[in-house]
Amino acid sequence: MAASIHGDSRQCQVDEMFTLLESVDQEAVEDVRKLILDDINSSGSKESWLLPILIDHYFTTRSKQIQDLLFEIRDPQCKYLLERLNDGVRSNNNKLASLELLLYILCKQPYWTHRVVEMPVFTTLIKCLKNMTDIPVLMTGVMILTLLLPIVPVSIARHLTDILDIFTRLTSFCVRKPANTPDVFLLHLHVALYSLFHRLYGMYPHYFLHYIQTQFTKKDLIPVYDEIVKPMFERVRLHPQLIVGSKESETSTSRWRNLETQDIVIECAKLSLDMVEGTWDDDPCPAFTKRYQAIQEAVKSRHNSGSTSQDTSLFPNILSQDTGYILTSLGHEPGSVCSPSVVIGLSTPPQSQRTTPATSFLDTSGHVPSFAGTITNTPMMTPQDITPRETPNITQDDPLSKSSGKGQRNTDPKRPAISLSRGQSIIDPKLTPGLQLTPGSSCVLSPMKTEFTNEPPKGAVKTQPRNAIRALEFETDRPSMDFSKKPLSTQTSLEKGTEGQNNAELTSLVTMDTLNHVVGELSTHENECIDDEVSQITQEDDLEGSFETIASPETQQAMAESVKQFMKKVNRIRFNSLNNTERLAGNESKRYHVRSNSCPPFEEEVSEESDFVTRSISTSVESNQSGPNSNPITVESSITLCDKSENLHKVILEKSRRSRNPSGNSEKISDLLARMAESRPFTILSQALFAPTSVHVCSSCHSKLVGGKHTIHGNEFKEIPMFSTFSPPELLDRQLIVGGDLHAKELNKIPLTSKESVNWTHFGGVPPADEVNILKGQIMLLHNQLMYEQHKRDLHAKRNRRLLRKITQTKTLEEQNRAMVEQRKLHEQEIQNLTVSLRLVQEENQTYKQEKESNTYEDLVKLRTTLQTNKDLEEANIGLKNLLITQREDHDKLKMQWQDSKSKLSNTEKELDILKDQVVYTQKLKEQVFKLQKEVLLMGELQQKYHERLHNQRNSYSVKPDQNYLAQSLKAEKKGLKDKLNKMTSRLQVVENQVTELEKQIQIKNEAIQELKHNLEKGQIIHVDEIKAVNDKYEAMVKVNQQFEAELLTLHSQVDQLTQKCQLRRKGSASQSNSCVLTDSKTSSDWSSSSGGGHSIKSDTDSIKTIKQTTNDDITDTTLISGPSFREVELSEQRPQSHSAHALDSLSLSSQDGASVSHGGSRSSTMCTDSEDNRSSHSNVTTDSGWWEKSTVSK
Amino acid sequence: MTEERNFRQYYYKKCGFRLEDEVEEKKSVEILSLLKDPFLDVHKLRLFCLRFSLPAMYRLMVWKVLLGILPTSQDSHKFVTDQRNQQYKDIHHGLTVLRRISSQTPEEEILFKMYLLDQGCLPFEETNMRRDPRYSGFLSIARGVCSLTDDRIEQYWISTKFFSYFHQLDEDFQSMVDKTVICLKKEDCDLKLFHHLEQNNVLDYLPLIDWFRGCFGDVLPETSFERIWDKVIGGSQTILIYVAVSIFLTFKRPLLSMNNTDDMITYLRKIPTDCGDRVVNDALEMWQKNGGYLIQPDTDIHIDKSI
Repeated sequence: MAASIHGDSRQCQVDEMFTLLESVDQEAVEDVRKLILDDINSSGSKESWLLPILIDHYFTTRSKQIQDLLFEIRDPQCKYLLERLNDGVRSNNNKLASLELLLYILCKQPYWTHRVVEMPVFTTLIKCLKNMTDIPVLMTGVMILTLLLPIVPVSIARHLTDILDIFTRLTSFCVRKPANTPDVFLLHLHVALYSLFHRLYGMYPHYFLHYIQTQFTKKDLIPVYDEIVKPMFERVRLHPQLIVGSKESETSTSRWRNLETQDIVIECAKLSLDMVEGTWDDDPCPAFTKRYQAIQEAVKSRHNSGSTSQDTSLFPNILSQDTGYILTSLGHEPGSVCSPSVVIGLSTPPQSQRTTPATSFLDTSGHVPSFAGTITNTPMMTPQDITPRETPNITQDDPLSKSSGKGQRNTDPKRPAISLSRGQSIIDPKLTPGLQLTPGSSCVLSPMKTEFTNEPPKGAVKTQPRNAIRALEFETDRPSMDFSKKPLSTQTSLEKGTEGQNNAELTSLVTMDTLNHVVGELSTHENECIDDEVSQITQEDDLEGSFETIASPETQQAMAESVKQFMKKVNRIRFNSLNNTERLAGNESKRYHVRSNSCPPFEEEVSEESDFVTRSISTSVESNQSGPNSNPITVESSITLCDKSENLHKVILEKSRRSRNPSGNSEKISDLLARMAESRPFTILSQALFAPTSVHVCSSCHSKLVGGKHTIHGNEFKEIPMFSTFSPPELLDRQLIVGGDLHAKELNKIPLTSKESVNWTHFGGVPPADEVNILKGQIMLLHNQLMYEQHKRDLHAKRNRRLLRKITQTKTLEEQNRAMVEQRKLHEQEIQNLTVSLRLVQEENQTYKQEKESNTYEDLVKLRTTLQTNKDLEEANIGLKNLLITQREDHDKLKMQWQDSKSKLSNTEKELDILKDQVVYTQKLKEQVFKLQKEVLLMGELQQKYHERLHNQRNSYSVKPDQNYLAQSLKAEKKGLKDKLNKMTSRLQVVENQVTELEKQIQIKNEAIQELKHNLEKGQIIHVDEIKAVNDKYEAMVKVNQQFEAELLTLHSQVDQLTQKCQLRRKGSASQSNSCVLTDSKTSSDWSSSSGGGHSIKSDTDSIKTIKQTTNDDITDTTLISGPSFREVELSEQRPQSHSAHALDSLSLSSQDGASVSHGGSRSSTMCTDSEDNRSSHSNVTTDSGWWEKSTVSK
Repeated sequence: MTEERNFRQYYYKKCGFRLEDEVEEKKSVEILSLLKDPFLDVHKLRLFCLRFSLPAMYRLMVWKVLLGILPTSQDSHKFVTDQRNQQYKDIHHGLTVLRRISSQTPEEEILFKMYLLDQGCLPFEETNMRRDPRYSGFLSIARGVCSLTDDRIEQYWISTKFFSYFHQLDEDFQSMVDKTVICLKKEDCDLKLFHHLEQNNVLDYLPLIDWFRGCFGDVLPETSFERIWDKVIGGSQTILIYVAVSIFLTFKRPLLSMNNTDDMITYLRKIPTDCGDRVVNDALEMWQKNGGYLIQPDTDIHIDKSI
């Protein structure tokens, strides 16, 4: 019960919720959304109760809100959502709805998208795709697959064969369509398949090709291949992976790991040559050579008719040739490979920044001055200068244009245009070289286009044939063109200047084309394509009139300007509006209306463009170029305009100014637009401009089919099958364009019968074609496709963002680089300075060195001379020395001689002197001798006399003997004394010896004495020790004795006490007389002996002695008593050692005396006193003994 | 005598016991040279005692010489010993005669009585004797001596002489107790033990003076106290302080674990024999550390030879 109630309440809530969800109130919707999402996401791993309800509700209502809601579901719940979807896909009713939901979810790409492949819903989807025939379902499914492929490149690889199977199956549908399917649906399916094809081919080329190889060789599939698959392959490039990669590596994780979804998509798109599917980033052009050959042919053909064609420029043949020629001229240009068709490349903005290095000399020469001449940089100024110079060239060249080089010249008229563009593009210096490149190119090219020359391939391939087609068209349309042109051009030029004129002309031209290919050319492409187309058209026009127009350069310029302006606006025009206008070509009013609709977006776009100055310029250049191109078409008008060139010039100036300052543009442009809207031709022109764009792809196909286009007629062209000429999306576009209006018109007229609510069977008729349902389905399919495109756009946006980031990064890096370069320059400067200073220093050094060298040389020379002189001088010196020596020797010798002679002289002189002296002396001596002889004579006489006297005296003297005796005795005495002395000395010696001996003896004896003393001392010590020991012993003995005595005394006292007791007892019994005494004495002696004997012999004997004494000296007791006591004292004094013994004696005596006294007195009465005395004495003794002890101790 | 040197000493030297051996060797050589002299130099012997512990075989002889039992001249040794023997016999005989001793009397008491008799102080009453303050000290010393030698005469002489020598220092004992406390404070690094002992009044209750009086004779095992006595006879009584301190420190842990004063005192009274060596070694170490052996034992402390 409760559950049901709960369920009811829930039901209510849910209903409420849904109403709220669908309500108009945005806030409420948002709140409810949030609530639901919270509820779902908060329910954890369990399935939320809301989910099935939501899905059911979606199935019934297909509510957009719920769609939005569901893809926001988070992880655990997504599983259930996918399960539900799986159920939905399985069921018959909700199949489409669930698939659409799935597609929607995938487009939104929630983070769990990758799980879809793992879920059962995917397998059911594949199963469904394999079995179903319902085109909407299939188309949605294919879309889902296409979306999933880049998202999960690895995990989906498992299902690759299934997907390929589906692909074949569905392609075969395109040929053999299943019953009950409208053709329109097939178209959609085809589109879907086409995108799937791109994905498959882009991602798994090996696998895919292998599959195609095996599958489409089957017989029944061959037509399918021819019709569907082959055209598809024609729109793709060769996949590089086919060469590098392998089948296995395609599905490996490593390949996809680094690629994001958008990367994969772009990769795939790069491979496509298709305008719709593909992109042109930076791939080189493989198809160029092919195209080039074709161009060559065209050139030849043109040359053939070249001379004639000058005047008859309107002839279609020539036109076609012209295009060819232009192409060839492009082809011949070495650097610039640009062809008019290249213009297509404009569509992608990044390419515009590219520059091709090659430049044409001619242009620079021509342009630079022209540029200098222009005051305002306006484009018209330059052409004025240049064109006159060039025009003759062209005219002249025409005949000469057999060689390719001259062909270039022929195209000169376009150069001014280019120069213009250059002039404008000065703002961006990079672009200028690009401009210069372009001259050769017939195309009119803005810098952007020139850049394209690098990657012309796709464009070239396509455009060339397209041009051919165009030519064909012109063939057919020429007449009408001629008519329309003139009036239009004149009118417009008058009214609005060249612009209008140009437009008019163009429109007139193109309308022709469009009329021809009613269906084929109506479809339009994206904005970028339009650009290309426009330029192309103008080029074509240019080609037409290139020969004639030369005359009026000014008008050309003017036209260029106007066209430029126009082009800006046109660029962004949506093909829908165009479609309408085209469709309703006849109906002017309607056309206006459409235009006005399409105008607002123009303004916006323009303002956008104003931001990107360079870009706008480039586009303007384009238009500029297209202007001149278009000029030639209006040959006649241009001639007429020549007169008014100045006027026009002014007008154009204005316009150009406007175009210059983009900020102000929007207003003016809107003005212009308004004016243009008024003018019919403009709209026509716009149609004309857009129409051909749609053609270009199919024309590429056509070019292949038709080798010599100029020979082929328009009719033949029409026979070409649609599939081969158009890519599926284009076909669809066309279909929509053509069919859309039709439907729109006819829907209003839908009869009642065709309305859904009406049941035809009710009327019994056959049900008519279910237009409404078909249309609805178509809308749905379109919606799918739109979603797909949106998805793709998102991916592109992501990629763009990334690219922008990269750009900024590179910019910063460049900045850094620049800074580094500057730094490097500074460093270089520094280095240079340093090197200069180094050089200076080196030079200085050099000069110093040189100086030094010269100095040293001089010094050397000096040294050498001085050395020489030195040597000479030395030699002279030596000679002189020798001379000196010899002279000295001579001198010495002379001296010696001189001295010798001198000495001889002196000797002789001295000898002379001596001899003189001797002579004198001898004379003296002679005199003395004489004297002495005299004296001797005298003396002799005297002696004789003395002799005589002596002789006389001798005779008178006599001799005495006593004296001799005395002398003799004295001598003897002396002798004796001498002997005595000798004896005494010898004796003394002996005594002395004795003394020394004795002294020695004394010493020895002293030593001995010492020794003896020492020994004595030792002995003394020994003895002292010994004595001490003995003394100790003795003292010990004394102590022992004392102890004994003390003991003895105590014993005595005890004995006394005992005896007294005994006596007392005896007295009591009977006692008398001496006998008693005797007995007493005896007993006492006995006792004493007995008692003493025990102690010691000595004491015994003493005691015995004392006893004897007592017995002997009975009477003289007192004296005795006093006597021994006196003795005692003496003894004690004399011999303290023996004192104790005597003391004992005396004591014993006294005690005995006491006893004897008592006996002697025989007083019994005194006994007591005696005994008392004894006691006292005993006590005295004890005290004495104590005193003794103490005294001995103290001693 | 030199032949009796430990034959292993040569081997010890090689094994790295050199230092001890050298000391040992030096010691034995020195004591031998000292004892070879017919007139012994008492001063040198005393120094030797202080420096080293005496070899056991010379210990008693050296002690006797230092205590004055034997004379310095070796020649008279025989005579003097004879005299000493006679003296001993006389005193012993005297005591037996006085019936103061019997075969049942313990040796120590006999020795004490003999000492008293020798001194002439033998009281009549045994109880008086026991009341004598010297009684316990002498008994412990005598017990120690008895454990050292079996010769009664030697026992008597060494104990009496040692006792009388030792009791010249009697008045210092109280100051020694104080010193012990101070020293304990110094040596007990964390003062934990000291505080513990102080808290439990162990120091007051302990018979430190008795230990000193008895010179640890019955406190320490014989092998231990004889080394202490070496130092005491050498002239340093301060060793006793260190012995007391080392006893405390050695039994620090068990003492700390005890909280009861009585337990501690009973524990200290019964020092386990195996700890003796440790105690003595510690004490000697401490003593040496504090410069005990630097004492010059000639002037202040000398044995009264008159006794």
